[in-house]
Amino acid sequence: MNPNALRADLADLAEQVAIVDLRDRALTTSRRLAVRRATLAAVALIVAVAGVAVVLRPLSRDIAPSRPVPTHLPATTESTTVPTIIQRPVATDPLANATLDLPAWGGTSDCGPGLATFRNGTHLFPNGGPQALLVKAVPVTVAGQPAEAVALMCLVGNHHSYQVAVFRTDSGSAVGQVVADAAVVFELSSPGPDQVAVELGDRYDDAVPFSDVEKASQHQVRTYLWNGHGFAQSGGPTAFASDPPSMHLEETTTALVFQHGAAGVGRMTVTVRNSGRLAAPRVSLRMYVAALLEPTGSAWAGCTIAHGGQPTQTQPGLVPTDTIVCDLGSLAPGERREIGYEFVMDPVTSSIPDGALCTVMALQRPPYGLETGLSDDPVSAAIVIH
Amino acid sequence: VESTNSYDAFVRARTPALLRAAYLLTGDQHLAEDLVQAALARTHRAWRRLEREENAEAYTRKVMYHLQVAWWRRPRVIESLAGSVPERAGRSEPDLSDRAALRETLRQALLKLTRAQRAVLVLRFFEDRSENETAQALGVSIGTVKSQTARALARLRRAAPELTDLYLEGNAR
Repeated sequence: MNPNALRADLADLAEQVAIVDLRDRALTTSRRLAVRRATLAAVALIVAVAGVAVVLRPLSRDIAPSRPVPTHLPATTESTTVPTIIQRPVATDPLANATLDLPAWGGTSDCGPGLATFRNGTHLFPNGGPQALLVKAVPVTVAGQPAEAVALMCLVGNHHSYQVAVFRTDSGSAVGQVVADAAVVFELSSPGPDQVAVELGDRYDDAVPFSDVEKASQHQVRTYLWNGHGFAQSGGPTAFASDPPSMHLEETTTALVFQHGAAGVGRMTVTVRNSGRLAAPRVSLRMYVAALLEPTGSAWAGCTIAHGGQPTQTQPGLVPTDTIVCDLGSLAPGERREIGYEFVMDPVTSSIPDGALCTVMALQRPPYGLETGLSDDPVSAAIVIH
Repeated sequence: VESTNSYDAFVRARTPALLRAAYLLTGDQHLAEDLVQAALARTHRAWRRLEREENAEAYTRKVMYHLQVAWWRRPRVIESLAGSVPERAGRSEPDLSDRAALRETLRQALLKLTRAQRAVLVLRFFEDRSENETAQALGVSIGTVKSQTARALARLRRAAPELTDLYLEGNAR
């Protein structure tokens, strides 16, 4: 095969495509993705990006059941600490505007060795080289001397890696390496003198932008102790499991069916299943429901509703939507939960606006466990009127 | 606003190149548009943390190639295999008919490859990526890139024997 001839013909064939402007289509899809991501944080982000003063009314109220049927487990008391990936440069730390003497990382990082001068937590290596971000710095005392444990994120194209090292606060010289290569760093701390603790994750799939790495990654806290010569691991696991058990939440729903003459009450059945090998704690069902649908009936006991503002201002074609969250408690491996929900539409109308959907998504509340097979696609219940 | 402007500039600057690669991956104008649109949308979601345009370019391409593989696994997406290339203005001169026929032959032959094979060929021979870069873009090993390339070329030879003559090593074009 003559590769040059193949190259030329591929280039010739590629020229046949008509060039079109995809900017508006891409932005529309981006907004849909944000809605599908189905988190209040994502919705808030859309509002912020759009720069539109959307009035969110975070007024939560309990949905009063028409009769007390405790079909749900009570909501569990949760930690509000959610591990998140540290990936933004810190600008205020003293070392974020200093020259650090980066050590060699054993060939696992393109950032170093050598001097790197950071400005606002960022150092650009010359000639279009990698970008080093100082994403976290915490004080640590090493052999009685002040130092800082620093998490660096090294970006090269679409590849990145994390390194953790300790530098002297006064000179920026390296005291010792802690972690030479990590896919994700969630947290960095110093639990005591001569100690550094790092919360690590085992995966970060850049090709799946909407994967919740916080959920899909294994989390491990490893501690390291200064031994007079360097840092050596003193606690926590030393490796990630190659095939860890995980939870996998799946949701399905029937159509939301209304009958004319049935007092405007519609019904649908939502099924949530944990198809993983790990019990799923703190499972909640999040529903985005057109505001013209009012929850009713006993199945909503313990659920909360938040009126979601006026998304029509930023998302043309969507109608105002309420967010309803129902806690389902824990789902054992293989456990399947089926819940019937009722809504009132007053009046029952066949002229439902476009985009008036009831979408359902099963989620784990934080703190997250190891959930795989993440789906950002909530299922939608078609609204049917007979 | 600055972020939006930089994203707009990125989209308008890079869409032509992305569309050309997507056309080779899909063999269809509309599927190519859908593929690039989906990749650009995900890039928009990640725009704040991409920081630099070269990161955005690499990110968008990686998403595009991975989406192509992911779409292959989704049964509801039906690939358009039989359509013909739409006539383009200025491309119908008689002296170009042989070239047009060659293009169509190559397009049809590419569509007989698996998506993974097509992706490897496009990355290696259209994007001029090294085996290592191709492996990174697709998230596979270099060995897989080598084997997929060999299989893709062999399949191309079987699918379009007439192209084999043209692509024989040393054959003047």
